[in-house]
Amino acid sequence: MPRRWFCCGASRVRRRVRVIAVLAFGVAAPASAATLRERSVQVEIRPDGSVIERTRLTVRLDAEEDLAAWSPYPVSLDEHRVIESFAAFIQRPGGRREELDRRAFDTMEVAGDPGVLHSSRSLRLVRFGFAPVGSLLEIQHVVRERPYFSSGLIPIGGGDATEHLLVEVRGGGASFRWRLDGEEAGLTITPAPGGLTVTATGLPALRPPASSPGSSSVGAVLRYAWGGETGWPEIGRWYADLIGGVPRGTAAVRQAAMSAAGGASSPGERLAAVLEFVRRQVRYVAVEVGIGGLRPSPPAVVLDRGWGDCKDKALLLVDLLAAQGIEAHPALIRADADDRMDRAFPSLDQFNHMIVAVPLSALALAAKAREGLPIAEGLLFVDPTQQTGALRWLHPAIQEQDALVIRGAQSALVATPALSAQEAREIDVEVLIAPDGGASGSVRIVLRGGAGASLLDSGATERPEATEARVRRHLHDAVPGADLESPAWSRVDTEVPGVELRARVGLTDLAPGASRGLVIPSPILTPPVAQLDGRRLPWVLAPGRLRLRWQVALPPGWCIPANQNQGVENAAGRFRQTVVAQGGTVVVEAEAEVKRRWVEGALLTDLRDLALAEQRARRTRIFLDCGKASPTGR
Amino acid sequence: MPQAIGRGTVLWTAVWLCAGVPARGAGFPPVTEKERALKEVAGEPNAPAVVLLRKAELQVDLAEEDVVSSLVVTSRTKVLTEAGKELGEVAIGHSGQVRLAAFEGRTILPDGRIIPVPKDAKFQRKLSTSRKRLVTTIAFPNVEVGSILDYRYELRFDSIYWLEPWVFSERVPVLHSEISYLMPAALQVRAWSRDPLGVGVKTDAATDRRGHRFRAWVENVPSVPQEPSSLPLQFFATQFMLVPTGYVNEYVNLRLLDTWASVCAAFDKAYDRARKRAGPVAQKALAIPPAAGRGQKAQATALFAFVRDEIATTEDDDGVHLREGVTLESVLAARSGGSTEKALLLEAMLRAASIDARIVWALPRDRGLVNDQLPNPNAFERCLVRATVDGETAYLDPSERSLGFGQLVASLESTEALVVDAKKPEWVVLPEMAFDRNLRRANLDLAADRQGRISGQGNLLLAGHHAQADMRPGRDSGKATETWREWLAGSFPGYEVSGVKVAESAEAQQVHVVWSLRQRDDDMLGNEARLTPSRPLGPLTQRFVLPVAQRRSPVLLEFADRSEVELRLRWAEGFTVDAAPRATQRRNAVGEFETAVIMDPVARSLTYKRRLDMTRKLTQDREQYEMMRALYGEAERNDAQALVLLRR
Repeated sequence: MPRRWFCCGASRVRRRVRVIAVLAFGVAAPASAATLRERSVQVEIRPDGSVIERTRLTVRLDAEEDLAAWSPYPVSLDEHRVIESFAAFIQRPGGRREELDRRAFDTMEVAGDPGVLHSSRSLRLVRFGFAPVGSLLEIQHVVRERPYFSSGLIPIGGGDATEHLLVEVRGGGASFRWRLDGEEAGLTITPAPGGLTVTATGLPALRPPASSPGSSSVGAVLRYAWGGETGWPEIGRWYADLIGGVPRGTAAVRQAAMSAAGGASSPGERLAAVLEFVRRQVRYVAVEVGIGGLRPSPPAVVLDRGWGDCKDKALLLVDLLAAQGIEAHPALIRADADDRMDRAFPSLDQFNHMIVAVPLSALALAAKAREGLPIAEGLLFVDPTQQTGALRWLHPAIQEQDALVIRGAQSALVATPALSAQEAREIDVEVLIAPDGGASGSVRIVLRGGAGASLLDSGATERPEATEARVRRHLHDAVPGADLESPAWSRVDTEVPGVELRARVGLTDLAPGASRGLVIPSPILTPPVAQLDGRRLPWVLAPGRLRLRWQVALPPGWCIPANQNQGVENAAGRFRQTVVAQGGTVVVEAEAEVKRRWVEGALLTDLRDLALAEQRARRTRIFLDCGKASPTGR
Repeated sequence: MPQAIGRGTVLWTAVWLCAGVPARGAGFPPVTEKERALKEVAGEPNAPAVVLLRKAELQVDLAEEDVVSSLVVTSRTKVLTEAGKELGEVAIGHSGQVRLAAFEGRTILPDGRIIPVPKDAKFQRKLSTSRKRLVTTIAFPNVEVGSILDYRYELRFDSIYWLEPWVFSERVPVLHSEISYLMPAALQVRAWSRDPLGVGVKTDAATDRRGHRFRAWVENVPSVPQEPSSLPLQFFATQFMLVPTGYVNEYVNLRLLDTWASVCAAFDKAYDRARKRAGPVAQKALAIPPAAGRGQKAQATALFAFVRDEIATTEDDDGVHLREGVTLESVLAARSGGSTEKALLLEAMLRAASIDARIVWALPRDRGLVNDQLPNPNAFERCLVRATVDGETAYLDPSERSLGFGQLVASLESTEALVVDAKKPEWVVLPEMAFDRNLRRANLDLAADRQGRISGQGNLLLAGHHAQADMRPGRDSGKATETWREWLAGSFPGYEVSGVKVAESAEAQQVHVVWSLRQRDDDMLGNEARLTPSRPLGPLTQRFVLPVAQRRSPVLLEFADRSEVELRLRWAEGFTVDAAPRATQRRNAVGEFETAVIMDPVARSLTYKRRLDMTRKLTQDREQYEMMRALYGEAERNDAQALVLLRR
C-alpha cells in the first residue's frame, strides 16, 4: 500500500536498503547469514477497504552476527497502519520455546529520512536477548491498514536464505492485478480470483554484485493492486483528485508570482525567476503526518510559512507559474540514484518525489534555447528542491526516470532525459618533461553537474580552507602522485553548476625508465571490466563525461611518437583517444562518456567494450625513446 | 532533599543545550540596531550564522519537601548565508524526568516584522515509549538570509543535579553566551570552567535571601574547528558548570559530589544493590570451564568470553549509571545488558572465581575529555573491569564482541580512567598498544610468464586495531571470504582473485587472509607487464591536503600503526625491468616511510619493500602536522610510480 513519500531533495535520495525495507515494505529484511525456516505473509483485502497483514517468521541463527541483524526487529506503523498483535518467541538450542514479555517491546516514533522534521511514522520494535547460533527466533504480527491507495508490495527474497515461503493475497475482487517485478527463480505462483499465492522452498540468500539496482537485494517484488486505477492515466487522475481538495489560487500566491517574476518578460525568463524564488524563499522542511505524506499543503500556507517539502514546493511553483500565465503540472517521480520504477505495473507507491513539468508550448523557446535542457516529450522538467542549476540541470538521481505528469485524464508517464554531457569533468594538463623523467606545469579542471554543485555548495557554506581541501582532493584525484601549488577555484557558469580548478603541478616520474614510457595518470569513468563479465543484473551508473587533454612538451633528444587514434562508440557511450605530435610536444586527448544510467541486457556488453577501451588506453604507455616503438599489444 | 543522581535528568537535554536566560517570564530581549545591521563576523569567513545571544538560567528550589528545578534557555541566532537557513529547525530532547514545560519561537525578518512560530509548527515525537524519551521540534517560519531566530524553552526536573557543562562554543561563532544559577543557600557548589581557546570566561557571584547566585559569561567565541581527523568539539569548547558538593543545614550535613570518593560511594551503593541480588551468578561463574591453559588467566578468559559473547550488549545512553531495578540476576536471566550491567556481571563472576576485579569508568577520546579535578560521574560513558590475573593487570571490556581479553578499543587507549572505589578512587591511564602491533603486512609472490601475464599468491596479516576494525567475530565464514574477495578484487583491478581463505581470531587480534592472483586476458599488454607494487595497501593518496598554515586543529588518527608490503617478482626470459619505484626514506618525529627495490638480474627477480609507520596518533604542534603531511606526500608520490617489465 502506498506509504508516504520519502520526499525528497535530490541530495537526499540515497537510503540504506534496510531503511527502504522497513519503511516501504513495513517489515525489516535484514541482510545476514541467517536462514528463514518459514516466512509467511498473508494479506487479506477486506470489503471495507482495510487490509489485514499477517506475518509469521521463524529465523534460525546460523552465525553469531545474525542476532544483531534480527534484533531489534521493527514493524513499520503509521496513522493508517496499526498493529493488532505482536508476539515474539525464542528457542535456544536444547532449550524450550519462550515468549518474550512486554519489556522486550518498544515503540519509536521516527521522522524518517534526513530533512524530514516530523512524521506520523513509528516503529514497533522487539529486542531479543542473547541467542546463540542455532537458536530460533519466531516473530508473529498482525497489522491492520487503511491504505490511501489500493495497492501493495511484498519483497520476495532477501539477504537470508528462505526454506519455506508462503505469500498469499486474497480478497482483491474483480479488479485485482499483480506483477512480479525482478527475478527470483523457484517460485510457484498460483493465481486465484481476487488474489494469488506464491510459494517456494529453498530460496537462496541474495548477494547482488556492486552497482546493482537497490531492489535487487530483495530479488523480486510482488506488486498488487485492487482499485479501479489500472493505468497511469487513472493513477494520475486519482492523484489529481487528491490534490483537487487543496485550496489554491489565492491572491497572496498571485501577488507573490508577480513579485517573483519581477521584470522578466519572456515566459522562459519568468519561469526561471519564479523557480529561483521557490528555491530561495521556501526552504526544504518535510512534515509528513498521515495523508500529509502524499497530499501537498496549500500553496498559500507554504508561501506564508516559507517552508515545505518537495510536493509543497512543486505545487506552489505550479500555482505561481499559473498566475504568470504559464501552464505547468506536478510530476511524480522516483528520485533514486540506484533504482527505477516498474513502469509495467501502474501504482502510486513507486514514487517518492515530486517535480514540475512545463509544456514547451507554454514557454515559446527558440530551438537554440532548448538545447541541453531537460526536455522529454515536449515537457521541460524542473525541480524546485534543487539549490542550483537554473533550468538546465536536473540532479542525476532524477535523470532517466519515469515521471507521472499529473494532468487529470491526460496524465501520462514520461521518461526524463539522461543528461550525461552536463555531468562532466574536463582535465587539462600542460607540462614540460625534464630529462630525468619528472615534469612540471599546470592543471586545470572543470567540474560540471553534481560535482560542480557540491563544490559550489561547499564554497558558499564552508570555511575557505575546507573548500580548498576539497579542491585539492579533486586535483589529487585528477593527477595522482603530483605535487600541487597555488590551487584556486572559481565558478564557471550558472546554467549547469560548474567550477574551474587550477594549480601548478609537479610530477616525479611521468615518463620513467629507459624506454621513457609515458602513462597519463588520470581517473577512469567506466566500471572495472572484471565486474562486467558474466553480469546478469543491470548496472546502475551515474551518466557523465570525462575529457582529458595532456599537452606534454619533451626535452631535447626525446622522440615524438607516431600519431595514434583509438576509440569505440556504442549505445552505452563512447571512448576516443588521440595521440598527436605537435612540434616537440605530444598532445594526448581522450574523451569518455557514459550515456545511460541504467545498463542491462545487451547494453552490458557495450559497456564492457567501452570500459575495456578506456582502461587499456589508460594503462598503455606512449614511448618517447628514439629506439622504441609503441607496443602493439599481444 | 537531594535525590539520586540520574543521567536521564541531565544528559538527554544537553545535546541541544547551548543558550542562556534573562529574567523568567520576560519576553525575548529587544533586537538591537547592531544585531539588525550585522552581516558577517570578523575572522569567520562564510559563517552560515552567528549566535547573537545564548542565555540559560538554572534554578534549584528546595523550599518545599520536593525538589523543583528548572532550566530556562533563550537563544537568538542570525542567519548570514543560505546555508544558515538550516538552523531554522530546532529540536529539544526531553523525557519523563526532564519535562519540557514551554517552548516558543519567532522569526524576525530583515525588515523588522516579527512572525511567531505557530502552534502547528511544533511537533513532538516519542523516541522510546518504554524509556519515555521524547523530542520536540519546531520549524521557524519565513527564514531568509538576514533573519533573526529567537527561541526559548523551559525544562523542569525533580533533582538538584544538572551535571552537563554549559558549552559556550558552537559550530558557528557566538557573540554572547551566558549561564546563571540560583541555588538554595543550603546547597554547596563548586564552579568549574574550561577555556582551551582562551576566550575568557567571566564570572560573578552573590548571595541573598533566596540563595546563591552565580553567573558565567563569554563574549566573541570563535567557531569550533571542524576538520577531518580532528579532536571532538569538547576539546575546543569553552565550558562552565556548577557541581553540587554538599547539602548543609541545621539538621543535615550531606556530602554530594565534593570528591571522587563521595561520587564513587554513591555509585557503589547503587551497584551494591544490583550485586546483592546476584542469584545464580556465582554458581554460573564456577560452572564455566576454563579456557585453554591453566591458572587464573584461563578462568578469567573463559568468564570474560562468557559475558562478552553470551550476554548481548544493548545500546543505551545510561553511561555509568545503573537503571532502576536492574540486578545481576536479571542481567544474567535476560542474557543482555548495557556496558555497566555487563561490567558488573563480569566483576561478580571474576570475584566468584577469586579473581580480584574492580569497576573502571572510562570515556572514549572521541567523546570528550574527563577532568579529574571535577567529580562528575556523567563525564564517563563506559564501564570496564580491571582484573588482576596471575599478578598482572588487565583491563577488560566485555561490551565489544571484537575485543579479546585485555584489549581495548583504540579510542579508549591512553585516556584517563577511574577505578571506582568508595574509599580510595584511583586514576589510571589505560594502556595503549605499540604502533607496530597495529599492523598490516602484505606479502606477494608474483611471476610474469612468457606472455607477460602476472600471477601468483598473496597473503595479508592484520593485527591489533587493524584486525579489530576488520574483524566481525561470529560472521558467517562464507560471507567473510566473500567480503575479502571483493576487497582484493578492488585492490587488484585487472586480476582474477581466487582461493581466498580467511582466519580471524578475536583473542589474538589477528586476521590472516591468503589468495591467488592471475592477470586477466583483457588486462595483458603482451610486450610489457605493469603493476603498482604497493597494492593492496597502496597506492596512498595524500590524507592531509591542506598546508599547515590552513590547518586549525591537531590531527588525531584513530591509532598509530605500521603498514608493510613486500613483493617478490620473477619474470620470464626476454623481459627486463624498464621502470621501478625509486628507493626512498623519510623519517621524522611522527613516523617513517621507506621503500627499497632489490634487483637480481641474474635470477630475473626483484624484491620491493615498502613500510609506512605512523608512530603518533596525535600531533603535538603544527610542525608535527607538516611532518605527517610530508610522510603521506612522500608515500603518494612513491606509490604513483609503477613497476614495469618490458620485452627486450
